Formats: sequence, C-alpha cells, structure tokens
Amino acid sequence: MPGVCALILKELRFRPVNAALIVLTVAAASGLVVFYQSGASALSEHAAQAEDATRRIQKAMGSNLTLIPASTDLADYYDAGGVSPDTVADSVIDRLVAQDAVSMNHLILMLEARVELAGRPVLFTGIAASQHTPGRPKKKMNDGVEPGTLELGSAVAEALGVATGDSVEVLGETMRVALVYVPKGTAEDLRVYADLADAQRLLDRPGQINKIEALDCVSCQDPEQEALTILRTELASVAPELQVQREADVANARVLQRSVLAQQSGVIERFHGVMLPVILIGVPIVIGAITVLNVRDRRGEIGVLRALGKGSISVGVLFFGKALLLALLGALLGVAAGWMLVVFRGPGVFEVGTDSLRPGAVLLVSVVAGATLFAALAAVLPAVWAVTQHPADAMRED
Amino acid sequence: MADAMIQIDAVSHRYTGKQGRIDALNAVSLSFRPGELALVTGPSGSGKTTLLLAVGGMRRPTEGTVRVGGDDLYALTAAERARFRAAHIGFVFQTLELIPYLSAFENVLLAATPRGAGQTETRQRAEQRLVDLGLADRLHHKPRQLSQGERQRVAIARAMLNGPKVILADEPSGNLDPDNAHAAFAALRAFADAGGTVLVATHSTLHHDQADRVVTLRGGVVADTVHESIHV
Repeated sequence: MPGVCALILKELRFRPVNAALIVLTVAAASGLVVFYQSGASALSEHAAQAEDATRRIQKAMGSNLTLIPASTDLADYYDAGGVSPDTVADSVIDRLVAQDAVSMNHLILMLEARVELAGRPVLFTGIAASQHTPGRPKKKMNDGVEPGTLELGSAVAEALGVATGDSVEVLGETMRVALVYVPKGTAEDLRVYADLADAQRLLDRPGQINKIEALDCVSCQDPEQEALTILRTELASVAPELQVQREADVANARVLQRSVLAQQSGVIERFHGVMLPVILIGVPIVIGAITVLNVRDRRGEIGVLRALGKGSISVGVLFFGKALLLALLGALLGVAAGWMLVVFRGPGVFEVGTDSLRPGAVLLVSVVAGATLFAALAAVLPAVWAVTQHPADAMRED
Repeated sequence: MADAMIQIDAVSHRYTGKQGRIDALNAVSLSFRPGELALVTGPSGSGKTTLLLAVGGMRRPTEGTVRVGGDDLYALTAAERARFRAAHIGFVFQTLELIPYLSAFENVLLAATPRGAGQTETRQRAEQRLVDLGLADRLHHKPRQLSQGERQRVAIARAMLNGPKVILADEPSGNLDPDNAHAAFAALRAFADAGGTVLVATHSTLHHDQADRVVTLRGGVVADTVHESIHV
C-alpha cells in the first residue's frame, strides 16, 4: 500500500478545491489574528508609553491639578508666575491621602520661591516624592530629590558653571548637583529642584508648602467643568485651606490623548468582540463541514480500505493527517499574509508607527501552533466518522 | 465437509428496515472446496450480497458460523478479522471502487500490507498480476483513463495480489460488455483452477459454463444447487 503521506498528497492533488478551501480558511483566520493582535500589542504599548511620557517629562509635569493655599489671591498668584506667597502646613497631605473621597492621585508636595542664583532669577522648588490615595495606582510619578542634592535646569547649570556631580553653594549651603536636565527651551531651564525638607530649611519655611500638584481622576470621563466642580466640593470638606486650579494645557492634552487611544482601542475591541468569536466558531465549522463532505465523497474509498484489511488508524490518519497538513500550510501562509498586512496596512489602521507594529515571534509561533491544532481538532469528528464507516458500505446491498 | 475452504453453518442474518424485520439469510448452510468457482444467483433481495459479506468477515450473521480455511471468522476480534481478510480474502466489488487518484499499479498495491508494499517482490507481483490480465501498457494510468473492462481487471488483480485463499466477487461482469465479462470470468476461473475458491454473486446466467456450482437463493434460503459438470 502506498504510504499514508503519499495517499494524502495524491488526494490533495485530486481534490484541489477541497484542499484550497481549508488552506484559505485557516490562512484568513491566522492572518487576521496576527494583524489585529499585533495592533493590540502596539496600541497597548503606545498607550503606556504616552501616559508615562506625559507624567515624566520633568518633575510633576504630568500633573494637571494645582492645589494652592485658599488664602492666595489668584491675580497675585498668576502675576507671580504661578508661585503663591502664602503657605499651609505640609501635614495637609495626611488628610488628603487618608481618605478616598477626593478624586485625585499622585499628590506632590512643593514649596516654591523665586530666588537669585549667579545673578539670575530662578524658581527654587522643594519637592517631595508623590503620594497616592487609597485604592489608586501606587506607581510613583516622581521620586522626589535626594536630600543634600539639587537637580538643575540647563540654564541654571550654565549660569553656575556646574555639571552633574559638582558641588555648588546655594542659599548658604553647599549641595551636590545630582542631575542637570537637557535644555527644553521652556521656563523649566531656569528651575532648581531640591528635597522638600532641604528647601523648607533653606527658604526658612519649616513644615510649610505653597503648592500641591496632583493628577485628577475625574476628567478622564467627565466634562472639565463638572470635574472641577466635583474636585472643589470634595476638597472643601477635606482640606478647606486649599483651593484647586487646573493646568489647562496638560489636562486638555490628556483628554485628547485618551480620546485618540479610545478610538484606536475601538478597532481592537471590535476585533475581540466580533471578529475573534466569528473566527473561533466559524473556522472549525467550515473546516469540519469541508472534512465531512470529503469523508462523504470518499465513502467508497473508505469501504475499500477497510475491506482490504486497513485498520482504523490508517483510515483516520488519512483524514486527520490531511486536515493537520492543510491547517499547518494555511497557518504559515496566514502568518506571512498577516505580517504583510501589518507592515503595509497597520500604520494606517492603528495610527501607530511601523516599528511598534512588528509581530513578535511568540505571537507568530502561537498563531501557527494554535491554528494548526484548532483546525486539526475540527477534523476529529469527521475523521472518527470515517473510521467508523462500515466496510460493507463499499459493496452493494441487494 | 472435511476439506471445505468455506464452511457456512446455519447462517441467518436479520435486520430491521423501514418495512419491518427482514430475513436477509435464513439458516443457510453451504460449503465450498478449494478449486471451486461457485455462482450465487437469485433475484434482488435474495441475500446474495449479504452472504458474500458474511463470508468476507464484513457482516456478522445474527446466527450461525462462517469458517474460512478452518478459522471461525466471527470468533476473531475485529482487528484479527481485518488482518485475516487482508491476508486470505480478495474482493472484487460491483462498483469497481478503484481509488481515483491512484494509478492502476498503485490501486493493486493498495492491497499489500504496509511492510509488503515497499518490497520489490510485492511490487513485481503487483505488476505481474496486471500483466497477466492484459494491462501491461496500463500500469500507470488512472482509473478515469481506463475502460470499464480494464478497471474490472485491475480490481481482480488487486483481489489476487496477496495470493488469497478465497475471492469474493459481487456482480463482476455487471457493467461489462460480453468480451470483457468473459475475460473477467476467465481470470477468476484461472484462480480457481490454481486451487483458490471463488464465490460470485450475480444475476447473470451467462457464465454458468465457467462455474463448478450454481447456488440459487430466494428469500434468504437456498432454493436450488446445481453442480455444473463442464467448464471451459
């Protein structure tokens, strides 16, 4: 008897349409999974990077709320370039982080003052590590500044003639330069960060702060004014000595960013919600139906093989092996097609860069293995049906 | 019968169809010796094919025993019976049932055991069977490229490949013109003359002269048995 593989290959050549249908079905399903899963991974990574970038451009730059002393006149505050002349006790933070009624997180205590260094006016900022409220994400937005050190804006470092690792005398104390930021072309270049406790000592404001920066957790869902109303109401009951201001540009950027990400995610959600179930249910049905038709077409052949003494395994392998072989071929073609789709259509569909869209090896191997296994399983019942065909069916009943 | 190749004892086969219970065979007892070519005739529904299937180990009788070469077929397990069938029984099907995507040579080789198929001797034997049946120039033709008579001869060559003890043929001349039908029967006759046993289920009375015996079934019972004295 010709080998099982030879029989399978000869039969494939004899019934190419049947084989092509299985290959195309598996290829289409595999290609779509590779395409959309690559998009999902890229978008997920893109979203995380965007959030992180917004938060970490520089100290507290990701914050979109500013809490300042309630006694501060807003005209004076904005005239002074966002520095409040008034202060409150830094212990206010204990009340803010002790309850979950306030819709804000990543609270950063600050004490700011305009001082002169090397003949230039700079914004001197004492900053503490961010603190989270109960039940909110615990990932720190910033770690503060190491006590005894400074982090300098590029223009300040240039004026002082210092670099990272140097020592410099500031407000009567010698401190080490822990970091010099790259030039940003903004007011940040004229800023000096110090540990909050160091700043309180150097500015002679022990236990005092004049600003808390935070990230609101309301504006993600609600219109801006409604969010502000909610925050003000909450703050009035918890820390009435503070008032809240919004950093409009940052807040709007975050809303816009989330809107874009939501749009991109919609494509993926439609895939996971509609297309993936169709693939998972439809593909096995199609492959099973094609295999059933194949078994029906070959009942005489099955009867002959059984009459000639061929065992169940030999007959079963003819059908199961065929499905396995075609599914593997389809999966490989599908992965290749999916890859091409990702490269040529992905950036347009997912609105992310080509570099982010490269399908990973794990995804490709998983799709090939999964599609092959899935399709082969769909052929199990038809193969069992083939095996249980009675050999007498090959002969006429009179 | 002590030297019987096929021994059928009180075989009955009943099944329930749309028209109620049907007695396809009813207490049939027959024996066939080596070297005998027997025709099993009768009208449609008389039980001819059921008898062949029972002798071939493919239809377990409701009652009775079937022995081939002394072995009680239905005392064997399904796997043992399949192996026995492969080694000792050849089939020629009415509908020919050649595998359409295999050549004539490969169709014959289909009957070989997996181990035997790769052996030169088996392949030579397969080729020789086809040559003996006048198909030397048709070895690598697909069934669709062969005439009806040629396909029938390929089926006979396949049945003979393993040197079986018994060949069971169901209407082997049913779709053939007289010349091809004669050639098919001649091949079966030659097999019987070489010591094999052949059972042919047929409606036709044209080939009684080739047979040693004609068994007539009616309603699942043996209605008549005629021993032919002359065959050519």
